Amino acid sequence: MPTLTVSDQATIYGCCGLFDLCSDRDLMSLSFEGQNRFLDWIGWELTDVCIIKKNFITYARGARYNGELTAGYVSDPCGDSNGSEWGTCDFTLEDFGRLRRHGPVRDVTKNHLRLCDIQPRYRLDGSPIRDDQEFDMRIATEAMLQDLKRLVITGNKTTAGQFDGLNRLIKTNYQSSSGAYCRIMDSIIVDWNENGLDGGNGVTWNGKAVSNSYGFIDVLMAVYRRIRDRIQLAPALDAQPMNVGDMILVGPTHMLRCILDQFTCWSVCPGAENIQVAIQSYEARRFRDSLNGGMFGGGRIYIDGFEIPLMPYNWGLTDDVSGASDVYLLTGSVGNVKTISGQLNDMSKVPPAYVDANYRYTDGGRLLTWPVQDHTCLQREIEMQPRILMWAPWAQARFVDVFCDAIGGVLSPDPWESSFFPETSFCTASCP
Amino acid sequence: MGDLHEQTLIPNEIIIADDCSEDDTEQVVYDLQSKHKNIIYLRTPSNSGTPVACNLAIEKATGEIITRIDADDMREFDSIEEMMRVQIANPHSIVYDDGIIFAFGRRMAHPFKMADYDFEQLIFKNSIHAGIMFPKKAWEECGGYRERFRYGRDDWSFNVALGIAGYCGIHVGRAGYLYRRENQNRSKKNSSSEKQKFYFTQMKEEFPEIYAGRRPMGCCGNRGSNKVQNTSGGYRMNSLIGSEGMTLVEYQGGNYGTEIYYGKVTGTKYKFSASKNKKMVDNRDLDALLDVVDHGRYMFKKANEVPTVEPEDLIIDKAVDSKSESVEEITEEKVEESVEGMTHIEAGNVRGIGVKSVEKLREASVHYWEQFIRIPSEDLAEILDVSPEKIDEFKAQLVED
Repeated sequence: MPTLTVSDQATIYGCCGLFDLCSDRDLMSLSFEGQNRFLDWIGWELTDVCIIKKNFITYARGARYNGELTAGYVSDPCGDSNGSEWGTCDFTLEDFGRLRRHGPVRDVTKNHLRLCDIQPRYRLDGSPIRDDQEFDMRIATEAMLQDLKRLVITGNKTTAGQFDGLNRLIKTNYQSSSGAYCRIMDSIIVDWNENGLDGGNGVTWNGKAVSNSYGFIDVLMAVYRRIRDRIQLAPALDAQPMNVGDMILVGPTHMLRCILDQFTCWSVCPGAENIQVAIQSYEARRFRDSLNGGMFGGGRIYIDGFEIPLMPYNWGLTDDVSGASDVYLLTGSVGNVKTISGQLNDMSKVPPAYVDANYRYTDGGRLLTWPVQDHTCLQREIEMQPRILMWAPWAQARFVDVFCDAIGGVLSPDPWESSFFPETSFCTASCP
Repeated sequence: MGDLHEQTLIPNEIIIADDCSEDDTEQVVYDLQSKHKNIIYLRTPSNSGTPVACNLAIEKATGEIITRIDADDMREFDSIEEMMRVQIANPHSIVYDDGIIFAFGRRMAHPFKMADYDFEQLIFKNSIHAGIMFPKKAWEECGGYRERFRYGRDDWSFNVALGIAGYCGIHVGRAGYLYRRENQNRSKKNSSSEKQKFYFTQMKEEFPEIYAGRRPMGCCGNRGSNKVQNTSGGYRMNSLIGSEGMTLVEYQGGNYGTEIYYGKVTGTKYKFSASKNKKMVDNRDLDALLDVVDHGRYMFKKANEVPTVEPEDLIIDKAVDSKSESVEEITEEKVEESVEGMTHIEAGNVRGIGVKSVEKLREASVHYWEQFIRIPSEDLAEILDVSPEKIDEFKAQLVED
């Protein structure tokens, strides 16, 4: 009988999901742990570092003379050698975002009277929530997590309180802190120009035109290959094996389904159709079904034999007016080297520093909470300070404004989107 | 009709609904159709009233956004474009602007201001002119213009019906609708107190639930207008985009991916990229956006230095002479000359600026020679694809003239 030993190898989420049940003072983790696959994939660590600045050597090469590479060999044993040069760029990450919400104002003298066994609320493990403060915090945290989910994509630090989301981190025209361009850091931006997945006019790759004869899968493959080539050229990364889950394709659910249909037809259909109607044969439909599931439940595709899981994410990716969506090809890590990560300001440092104030931290320092009081009225505030680190923007790609029709319309989990269901029946819960 | 093809945003379709008029409307329209392919002519089989004619026209329309202009009224040259931007930003609303009354060839000095939208006030007094902009599906959902109002107040009943269906109004605070008030106006004849009581009775018969105090789900009532709502500690979420004017802004960053910038006052999401780098921005967000610096560089500038459109820009000088009985034809030239004395750009006015150059200038929202002179030569050179020195020569001709 073989004996097994529990592995201490990190899971796909690493050890640092947005919430986890292994920290002290877990509270919101009891309700939210494991509920946010994409955010957990990014990985979050607590930090007390304010500003991070990393300098990169972007290239090293033989020196130039009159724009030409100088020779690296000498014929004369006493001859002078030619020199070498190297380039630098830096990456500066400054402040955190500040996400803050509060729960409803409560009359503390009535707090214990609201508990009702016939209408309990439960944590993930099935245990009931018996404290109104915890319940209020849960509602406020839910709203704050919605803000986080949007800002992870659409955040812009030029708006006070926000942090840079993927729309700002994955970009062209990268600049160092001194304003010098470091185009070697540029991401791949493919502007799909609101065309369907078959492609069309006006598609560009970092501003350069892409032929309208290329479909989405063709360009995705080219993007993937470019990134893999760049990884191979990076000495520190080349030796690392790429694992399933290191690269993912992130997009809204309806768009990912369209991509799976497109991929099926790209693989097995005689033409370049991208709609389910064209998946006519039994074999094609079996192939399509085989793409379901995947590491995150959103499906998977294979490029050059490498499995790329699809990550459904419906926050901030679809334009409410045009209906076009963004799709990201993200490289979260290369083997053990993490290229995308999130950080949270460690709030566990706050209460000990301000003992007389009423601050408390929960969930290992992810959240700071404090009450605002007005006689016997109490309102609980909750705050999180996140930011995203993008160590290798050159290994990331973004497809902008891709269009795919969703029969029945797009469905969004964001209560602020017009495609949220039910969008016309909001009724705030209130006491009679 | 004359000004609709001079608009900065020309409608895809111009549908003329003729309610069985007895003049030469039909012939005039045929002549116009020979010059403009986007004109559609419909005629009711019998004289049935404005609501029937409007419904007929809207039903025929293939576009998603509709705006109405009554037969004797007009619009400022860029007002449709202004309203369209607000409409696109607020797809589940109706949009209306202020008006300017004109009569016998002259405009009022001050705009005819509409009130901010308030459904609870609207059901008692119509505070919105007939020239609103709305999605066609709003017309479908609310049941269209009410045919019983054939003798007047069809716009009032339509506005209330839209509000019941959840299409609240957004007031663009600039004067765009040119409202003619001369002796032929229906409104001059049906505004007596008896008439007002009559119409109010009709409204109560048409919408009994509303006047009984009930408000269906999604109705605009008891929510007031699209007021600015303050969210503590952050920007205000406000759907009144463009209500204080808008400015064309150019993004100067080099990112080909779209970045979202949030309006500091309105909270609007503005998306820019290196390839889609020009957008209209609400004037309230303008200063903060122009101040955005990234890695030591300003990210935005005003595009082409074209003057911003301010709400009060279009006030004209002469008062209406109400005692005058002479009816002067409002010709295109008169309307153009009266815009603060500005002169329309036409091919041939300046040596070297022909039809193609005029088209390029209009695409860049440069319509008047006075604007042309104020814009820096480098920017004009880029628009017309000539050297700045050539632009200086053009300007010199204008100064001589």
